[in-house]
Amino acid sequence: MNTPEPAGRDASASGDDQRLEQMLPQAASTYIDDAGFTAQIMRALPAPGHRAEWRRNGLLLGAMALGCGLSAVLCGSDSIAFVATMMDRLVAWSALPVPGFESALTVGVLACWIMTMAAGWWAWSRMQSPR
Amino acid sequence: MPETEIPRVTSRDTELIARVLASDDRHAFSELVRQHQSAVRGFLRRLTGGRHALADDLAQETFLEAYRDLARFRGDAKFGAWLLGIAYNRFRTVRRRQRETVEWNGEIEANDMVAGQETAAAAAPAMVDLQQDLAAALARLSADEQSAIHLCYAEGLTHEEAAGVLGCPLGTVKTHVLRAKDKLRTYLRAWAPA
Repeated sequence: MNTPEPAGRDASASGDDQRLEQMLPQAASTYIDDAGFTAQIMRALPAPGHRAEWRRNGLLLGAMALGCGLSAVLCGSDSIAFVATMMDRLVAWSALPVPGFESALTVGVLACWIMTMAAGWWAWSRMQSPR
Repeated sequence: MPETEIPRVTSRDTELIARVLASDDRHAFSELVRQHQSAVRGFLRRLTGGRHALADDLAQETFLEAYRDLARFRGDAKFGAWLLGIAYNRFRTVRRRQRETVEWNGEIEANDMVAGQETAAAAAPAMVDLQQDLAAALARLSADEQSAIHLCYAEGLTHEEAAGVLGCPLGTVKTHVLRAKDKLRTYLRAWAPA
């Protein structure tokens, strides 16, 4: 910020600044003894459990991999064909002549697929940073 | 350099942080806490107007959050400054919740006054009076001005580092510092040389 000061203030202001800059570090801070503070922090830390998080993330990744593997086996590597095939089967099984049911089912299945991929990516990214 | 000025990111800090991240080394984290607790608690005591209990509660939350998010510290700033940024955010959250402006109300804790006088035990009585007046003058500043002055002068941060801690633009920090110094010059006019 450029705030021009009155010319006459320059000399006295710089002297005041020097005095303040000498006094402020001493007055603005005082060393505080630990007095058990660190011990209190260490007691409040969560129990060591990052390994449990690894297991959870590993399980999530494994489930995602299994799901992708099943889809690849059932319908080859074309995931769109898998979705279309599943849609055909669901529509065939459905007895409800509800307008838009097929569209809603398509959206729902795609959403589940996207969320599964997102969950897998999240688990993978969490595994890169243990905590 | 004042005793409590935050040291530059030392290799010791880097080593301790690496040990905590690699193997959840609790001893390493306790060393980090021990090194930085005075600066964090002192900063929060200033912000909370000398309320030691509230300041220590906020300091505890600060270090717990630092432990949880230690992986996010990229090492491109002082570790102490990163901690003060967390502490400042904690303070702002409490202030918002309480729907009041927590300003230094001039009721400096007796402990602070005694400690300040102990460090100047050999000083002349006039110097002790000056420091008391300076402390009282600092208490009349707003929380933002106190924060800026504390970070830049007590902790030795640059304006850019202080802006990072406070989460505000660089120009805002400079404005706070300028206004704080103008006010202090006015409050301490009696101490100016004739």
